[in-house]
Amino acid sequence: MVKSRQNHLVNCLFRAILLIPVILMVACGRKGIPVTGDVDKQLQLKQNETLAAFCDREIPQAEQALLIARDGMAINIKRETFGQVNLIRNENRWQVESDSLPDAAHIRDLQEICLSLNGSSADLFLLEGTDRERRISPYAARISEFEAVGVSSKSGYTVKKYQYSEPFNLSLSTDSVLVIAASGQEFQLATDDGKQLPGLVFRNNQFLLNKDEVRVIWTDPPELDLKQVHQQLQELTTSSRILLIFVDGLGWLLREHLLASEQQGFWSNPALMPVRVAFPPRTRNSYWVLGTGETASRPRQGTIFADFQVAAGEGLVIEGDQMFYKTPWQMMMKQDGNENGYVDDEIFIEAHRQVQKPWKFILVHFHGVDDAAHNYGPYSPETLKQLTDLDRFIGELNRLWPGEIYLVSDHGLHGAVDGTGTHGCGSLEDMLGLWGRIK
Amino acid sequence: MKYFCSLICCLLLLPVQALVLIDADTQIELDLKELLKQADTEITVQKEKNGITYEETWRGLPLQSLLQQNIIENYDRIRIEAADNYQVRINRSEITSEDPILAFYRNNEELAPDRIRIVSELLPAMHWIRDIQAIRVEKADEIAIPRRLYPAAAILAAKPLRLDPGPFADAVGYYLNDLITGIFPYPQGEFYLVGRDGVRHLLDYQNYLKEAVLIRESDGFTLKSPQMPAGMWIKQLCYLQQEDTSILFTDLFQEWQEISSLLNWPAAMNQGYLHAQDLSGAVDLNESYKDISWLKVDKITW
Repeated sequence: MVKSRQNHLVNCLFRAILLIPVILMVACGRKGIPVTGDVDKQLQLKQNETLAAFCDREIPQAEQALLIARDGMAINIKRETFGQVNLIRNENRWQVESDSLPDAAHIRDLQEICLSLNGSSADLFLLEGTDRERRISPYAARISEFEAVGVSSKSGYTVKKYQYSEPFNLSLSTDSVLVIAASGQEFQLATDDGKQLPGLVFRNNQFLLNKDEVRVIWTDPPELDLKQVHQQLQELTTSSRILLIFVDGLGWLLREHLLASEQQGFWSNPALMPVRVAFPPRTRNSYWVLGTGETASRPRQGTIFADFQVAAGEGLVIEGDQMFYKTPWQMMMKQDGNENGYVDDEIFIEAHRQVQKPWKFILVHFHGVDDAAHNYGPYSPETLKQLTDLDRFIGELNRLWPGEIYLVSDHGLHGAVDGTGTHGCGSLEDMLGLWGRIK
Repeated sequence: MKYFCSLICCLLLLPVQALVLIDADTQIELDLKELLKQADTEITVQKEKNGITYEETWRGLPLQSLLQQNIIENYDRIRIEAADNYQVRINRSEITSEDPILAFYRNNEELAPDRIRIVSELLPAMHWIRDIQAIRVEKADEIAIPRRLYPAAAILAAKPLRLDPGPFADAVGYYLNDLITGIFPYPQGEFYLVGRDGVRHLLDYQNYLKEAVLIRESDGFTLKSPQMPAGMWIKQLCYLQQEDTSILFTDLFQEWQEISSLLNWPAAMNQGYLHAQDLSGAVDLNESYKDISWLKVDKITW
């Protein structure tokens, strides 16, 4: 009995050993070419087709491609050339075949396809103060590792040839920078003698610093952040009646844009200053930091403003139709009753009523600027219209509220390629809100 | 004796003015004293100042002669570089037809080494470059006809206007990077820039354009950069191109014909493919230019 079991085990082991090469062959045969660059999902090219067909199906926004061979040579081509690039698997190697392109394009052992899109969610932002920024996309980082060695043209198609040169590196201009990871963690780090950030690499299509994915490197960032705003508010509420006007989506650069366009309003108040919001710059994140002073955790649920010296019956939050977090106070949620597409008018009507009552702390969260900026773009006439309306609302609340009035915002927005607006990346437009006393 | 030694030391330590002629890998250091002996070509120009017209006489050596002496025959243009990073290009045809000189004398007075300049009766004032450090011989890479064109208005509508874009104060505008980084994700190398008045520059991004700003004026945007002298700033920037990709300031033109004429485009460029938010398709740009809502156009391709 024991011997029979042993024989059975040996047989199984033998079959398994025989199967290993088969499994490996199948696995290797199915292996496609990794597609990297400005893509936000894991992609592989697995079947014979033109690059145009692949991109039309998977990444229609692709504008350029860097096709990288195993030997370190690469070619850069533009979108209109994609249809001339046939990607063919030959045994276990992928190659580029084309009747129309120059010989330089005929890569025999293709290893990687790196695509460039107009805007990527994984861009690394290099920010300086509140004014200047540079963004490095994964595509830009990858192509910076190569050196251009020539240009070839044939039949009206141009191909630029590259040779691998050196790994991605970044030279900064200061001794110390603020590094912000994708997780939201912030680190103040020193550069080395060559003004480079030790440990910063570009690997596996990511900007990594000691295994953390880096999204922002900030030189001379604004000192004020939402954690400090929380602390200031906490102190202020011990001695004053506070009306906090929370303008969702009003970024510091939108304010600058308005002033540069000679548009005057509540945003012109010189007491307003830029504030660094939490990464990723989204309302929920900023609301949490503003309400708790905590930067490490980002729970989906929780209670904010619990550490304020404002009793349950003394505080009020007037919101739109979404409750982000609980508070110890009364909350009034408003709907778009007149169906004009915006809820700010309903919020204002409620706020107009409530500022005439003896509340110690009122938070009024306006959403119109954010909504318009999302739908029409942050610098659109529609966004300006919302700001103009808000200016009237704030003017009226200013007249009625006997205490102090502060303005805060949670993030800004940047223009998207389709004419709308969005936020969530490390740009100055997104990462800078504002804060200040306007009465 | 002490003073004599000091004078000798000063003379030895004084920087020697050098002018270099560069042709590919060859650098020829020009002997200014020898060139001075050949400065026998005169140009008289009329100038006006405060309503008074006066004449200036410049004497020097024709650039044609300078190049011939150094056996430089195979070139399409020269690039003249000044110590303050100013540069100007003169085409071969301009060198032969306008006959600019390297001037060493003005009204019979010898010019200091940093005042030696290019002078030509017929070339615009921006070509009268002085404090010349190098004359570089170039072969022309013809500016290719673009295959895609993006309207600047649509790009800038999605960007924040800046108050006092650094380092320029009392100004409103955009950073050049705001305009180009979405279109050129890895801006390196030279960009071809054209002003509405026809002035053209081929400028390296790292050396001239990385810190550039577009200052809004009443008639368009002036390209300014702390990396280049004010004489090179481009008023009414209307066009920008690198390789086969370009950006056009459509609001500076009334008709497509003005654009193709300024940029010397063939008639085939009149037929393009419009990529727009609400309408895409083949378009006759001559006929449709005025009717196109450029803010909604993503690009035109050929």
